Amino acid sequence: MENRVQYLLDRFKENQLTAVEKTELLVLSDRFPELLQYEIMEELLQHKAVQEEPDHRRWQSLLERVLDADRVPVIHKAVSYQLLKWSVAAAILLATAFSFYFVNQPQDHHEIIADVVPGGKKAILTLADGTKIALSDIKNGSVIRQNGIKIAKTADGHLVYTDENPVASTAAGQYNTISTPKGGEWELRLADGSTVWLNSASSLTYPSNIATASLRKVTLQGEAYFEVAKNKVHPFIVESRQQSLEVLGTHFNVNSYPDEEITRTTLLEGSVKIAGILHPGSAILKPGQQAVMNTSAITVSQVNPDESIAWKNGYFMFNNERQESIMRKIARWYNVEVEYADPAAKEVMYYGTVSRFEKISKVLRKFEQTGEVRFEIKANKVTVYKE
Amino acid sequence: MHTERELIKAIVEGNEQAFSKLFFQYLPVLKSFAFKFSRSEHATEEIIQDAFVRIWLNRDKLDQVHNVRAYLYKYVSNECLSHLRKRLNEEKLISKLSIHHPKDSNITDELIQLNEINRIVASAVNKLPSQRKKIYQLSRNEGKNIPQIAECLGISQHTVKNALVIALKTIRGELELNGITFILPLLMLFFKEFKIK
Repeated sequence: MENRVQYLLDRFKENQLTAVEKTELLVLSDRFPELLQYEIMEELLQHKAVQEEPDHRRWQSLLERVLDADRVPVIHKAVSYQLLKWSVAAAILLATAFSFYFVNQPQDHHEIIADVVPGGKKAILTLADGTKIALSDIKNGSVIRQNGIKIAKTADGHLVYTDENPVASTAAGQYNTISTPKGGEWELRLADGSTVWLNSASSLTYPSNIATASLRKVTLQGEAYFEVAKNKVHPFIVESRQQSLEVLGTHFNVNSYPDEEITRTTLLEGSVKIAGILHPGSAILKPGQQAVMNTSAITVSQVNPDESIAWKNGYFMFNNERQESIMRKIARWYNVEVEYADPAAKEVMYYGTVSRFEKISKVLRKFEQTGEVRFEIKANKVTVYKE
Repeated sequence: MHTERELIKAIVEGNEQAFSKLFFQYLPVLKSFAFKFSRSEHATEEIIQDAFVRIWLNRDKLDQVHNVRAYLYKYVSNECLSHLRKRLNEEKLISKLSIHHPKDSNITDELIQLNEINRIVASAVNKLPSQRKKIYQLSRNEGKNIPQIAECLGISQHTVKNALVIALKTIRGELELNGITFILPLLMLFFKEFKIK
């Protein structure tokens, strides 16, 4: 009997069962499953692994799916799946409606002492010699020259670097830093043609002569979106608190704020290699992938990249995100402090999109419409209450 | 994690990094066998995924396992058998043989639909009494270990460990109510221990 089973299994593996043999094997698998299982187990016990590097990324994703099986996001009400789908559709619908016209607001029963305007183009440039320039204060069209590098503030309010002396550059080893305050954002074009969008409360340090540097290494704190000019000879490296990222020529977003425990890197186009600084993990990303790095590991998953660069395109986008995490982003953009009167308010989860160029009251009212939380705004402090 | 014993102990408590180590340790032999068996990349992934979902959802039982290798092998060979049944049934359908198969309707039950599992798990977790639910969420959502959860909630580690085990059992119970079985077929349990070569 065992020999017959072994024979059938071998033929199955080689895909050479006749129609009759298939039926026989199927019947056996129903009448004597333990026998089939025993045979398969015997073969497995004798099997020697093929020496092959597993595609770590692919199997890491599979492992993540396994671990996700019993992970349940905190939902603010005990909902059945159907109800959850409905409320998701409703939240997104509300968001879309809001973007185009004012919706009739429910009666205000809370206070807004002073509304807060959204962030805007604000940044400080620190030159190699330590001179600090408030970029929002200087006129469009202004030009600074330092060691053969021309820095110009363009008509549309961003900064462009030009290396005027690439052959005989005297600017070696000179670093500039652009930093945005809370409530600021800035776009700049580096001398090698790469463009960087800096989000609030962030800073980027880079060599002013990056076009001719052997290694195009920049240091980031906070969040930035990069469109890196291709240069195979001189790799572009982004260093942040927990990771070092190497680029060949590509579009990606790095989120590495000091008050967030993780570093999030999302790739839109091209290819990047990420290495942990606090641990030896590394990963290579493909477009559409996101790496989440913490103090011990990197996890890579497939995401909708629009979510990570929503900020650069002028809106907030939340996909099953906690109130607390959302409020940290709002605090940076509106330059406010956030306080929780009810800690339970931190756990509320949201889906949706909202323009980030509205005053804070409009944005917060959208969250209030779910009936889960309410806000009070006094001076630059927002207090969150659970409803 | 120095010994397999310590690794297993951590997995029992829900440590994902420990589980990940076990996964990648056994992956080469398991995936090459699954591929040899199925001759399909997709089927190989399904076999490995389904086996490890079952192992993970039964993690509290790892405590009593004497031979980890044999235990993992049992799950994978079980999934290989499921794959065999599925493929033969598909081929049977395609070739239009009309032999009535009484167990046809059970075939798809053997395969794991992850979305469905997650939905049922979510429903089971939401029904848990509030402290057990909180403990479970701190473990699965926030990756906290037993000492951390105990400290966070001001309760004993023993209470935390019990709560996690009961939560897992409740989840498995809910899954079984919905037709998704997580224990190996009963028959396997009556088979004597395999000789390890």
